[in-house]
Amino acid sequence: MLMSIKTWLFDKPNTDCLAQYAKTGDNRYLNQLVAQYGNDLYHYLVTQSDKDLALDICQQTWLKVIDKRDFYNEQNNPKAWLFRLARNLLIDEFRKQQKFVELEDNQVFSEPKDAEYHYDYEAFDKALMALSFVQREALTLQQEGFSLEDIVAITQSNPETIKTRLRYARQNLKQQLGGHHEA
Amino acid sequence: MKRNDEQLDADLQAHFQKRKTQHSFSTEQLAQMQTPQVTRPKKQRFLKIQMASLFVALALFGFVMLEYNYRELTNIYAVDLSDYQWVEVHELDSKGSYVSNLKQQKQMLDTNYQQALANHQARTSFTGRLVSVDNDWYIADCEQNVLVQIKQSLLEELQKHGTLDTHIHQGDLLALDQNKQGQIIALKQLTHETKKCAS
Repeated sequence: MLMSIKTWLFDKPNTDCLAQYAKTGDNRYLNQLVAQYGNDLYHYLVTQSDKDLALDICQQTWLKVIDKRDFYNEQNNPKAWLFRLARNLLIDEFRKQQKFVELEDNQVFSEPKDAEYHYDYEAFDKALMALSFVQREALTLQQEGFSLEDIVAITQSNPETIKTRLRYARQNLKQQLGGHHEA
Repeated sequence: MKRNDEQLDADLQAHFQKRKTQHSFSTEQLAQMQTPQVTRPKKQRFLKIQMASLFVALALFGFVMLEYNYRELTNIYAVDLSDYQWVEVHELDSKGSYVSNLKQQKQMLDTNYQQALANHQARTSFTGRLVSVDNDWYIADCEQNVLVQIKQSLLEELQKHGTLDTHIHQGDLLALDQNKQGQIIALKQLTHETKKCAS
């Protein structure tokens, strides 16, 4: 009795829409989720694949959320859970299409360009897309605001691997963009 | 111009923001994304309603069919003596003498007795349906106004003389032959071709 009064008085309202949806099945929460995370998810997927596939995987992800809502446990970062779901679907799709994705990669470009550096969107984008799948992914997830622990959870890797990927990704970006990014 | 890691971070962030604005859903696209999630459970609910309706319809149909069959059975085989104007009883008594009498409903007794007796004696044969069997046989004539009760004693006698068909079942149409005294002397099952009461 006392506990329930305490809970009622002091507990914060539940802000995890995914947990609310999992609990109630109410489509309003699902629509909130789509509005809240839809663009972030699409951007991650389009960075890791192409527009058509990203759109397809986005839709598949939301359908998966509907099907698997009973398996969701309330957690600190529901967004990370969504991204992990989407990533698994994307990799499954790559396998179906027999596209080769190197998931264990320590690729480092060896020939730095020597041209003078100034920020250019197209050049930066080209350099980013030249990175391997996992290096680009680590960098994108970091920019998305995920912590190291979140990225570990999403990619199902270990922290050291993620740190290595991030280091190599930055190094490769510098080399792609020119030698002027040296520390 | 020398750049360090901080500059790279700033460029990465700027690039990320710009790229994200270029690769994002419009309001309409987001609305389209939301639509399937709203409609899909409704479809499932509609399917559930359809399935439930189908089961209810099947159950109702089954119930009606069973009820109909049950009524048909009771119509043929249940005997209610009050349905008949009079009841003829045929038997052999303990001394082996043929006894037949009429059991007429009280309300009909006064007005119809004489006519019934005359009909009973005048008939030499008629057809009827075996509507009930316990120890005795109950045969309703085709017009459904006479019920002939044949007691076990007479049935045994007819069997001895070979004038009782052996494969008679409840519901069968029968021909009853009578002598000039109105005594039943043979019971025969009607053939398939004649298995209809003449209207």
